[in-house]
Amino acid sequence: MNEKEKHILFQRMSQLIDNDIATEEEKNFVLDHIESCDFCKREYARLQEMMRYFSRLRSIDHLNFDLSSRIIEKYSSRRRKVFFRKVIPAAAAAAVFIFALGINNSLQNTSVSSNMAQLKMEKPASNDTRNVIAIISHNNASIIKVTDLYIEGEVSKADYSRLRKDLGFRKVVFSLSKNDNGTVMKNIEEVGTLSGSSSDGVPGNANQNESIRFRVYK
Amino acid sequence: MSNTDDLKNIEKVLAGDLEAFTPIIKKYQEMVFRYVYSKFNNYDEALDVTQDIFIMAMEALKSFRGESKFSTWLYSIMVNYCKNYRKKQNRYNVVSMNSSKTDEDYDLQFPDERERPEDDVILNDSLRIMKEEIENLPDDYKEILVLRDIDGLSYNDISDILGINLSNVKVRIHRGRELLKNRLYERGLI
Repeated sequence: MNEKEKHILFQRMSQLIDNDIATEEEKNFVLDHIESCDFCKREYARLQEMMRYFSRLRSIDHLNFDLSSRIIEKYSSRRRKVFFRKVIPAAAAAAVFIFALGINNSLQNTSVSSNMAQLKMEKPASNDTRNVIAIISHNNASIIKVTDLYIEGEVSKADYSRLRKDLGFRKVVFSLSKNDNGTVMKNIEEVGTLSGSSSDGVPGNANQNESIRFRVYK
Repeated sequence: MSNTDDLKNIEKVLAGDLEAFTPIIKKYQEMVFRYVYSKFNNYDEALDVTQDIFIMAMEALKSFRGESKFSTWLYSIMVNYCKNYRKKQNRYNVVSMNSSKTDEDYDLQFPDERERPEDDVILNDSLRIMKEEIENLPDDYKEILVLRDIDGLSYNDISDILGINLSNVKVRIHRGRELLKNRLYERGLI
């Protein structure tokens, strides 16, 4: 057995300091040895002295002031910065979005207004065309042509008077389209704007069998 | 203040009462500073880092689940912060056992303690030697001795904080103590 093996290992002494020796029996053995061995006693005394220096270091207050107020202030400040760093881009994005949305709506409104105006302008004409077609159909007349300017149709002379009355204020021109001999009259002669209430405007010498071709202007 | 008190204060902080963090800072600031100072050997830098560690802890407080003691959690943040800080700053001087630097070359950078109230104690030669020799220890030993022998943490807490197993913790503590004891003996302190 060499000199070192006769003594307690430093690790055991360190464990003793930490009260980390597993059994009471082992602990007593170590303590007994330290008590009886000068070398181990000196070593253990040095270790205890070192531990006292640790305790003295622990008792030194390196910070003789309270850090809490400056830490909390710094934390709050950082939090505000983080908040603004998150909020400002989001607010900017929202503003841009709202602005873009506003422009878009504005453009759409302009477009809608324009379309509406157009519809308003077109609507009466469009509705009137339908109305005229309905009136023509209702009076046993046939529709020959529908153009941008007028609706052309043909009706028997017997039905013409009623048709003309139903057409009311509208500008209507007509001509006899067939006579008794079946001659087709191709040209429609304008005879002026006729008021539906005043006269049927049918040529007086026209035969009841004749048909009348007419144009109702939009 | 027990861990239960810590938890009560944490609840208040999470509810928006930031001032409730004050007793926690007061309780741990010295321990955190001591560890950080042992790492950086610069008073002002250690002060800044100590504050940053507490701020980081406040920011991360929501993630504290109470599975460990608050002190253990805080020290884990402290250890990791110091590791990352050292990597980032590359300022930390590891004093190698084989270093060719002489004592004159190596500036220990003690804080200017003469301006502080603890002058009398700090300037005590014995403590100065003790501090110097702790600072001269290899990093693994220095770190663990600060946590164990100055801050008084348990083996288990140190194991959790440093992320090393219990037997490694014990081995490092005993070896670190032995190395320090030998150096203090050589300096004639013990």
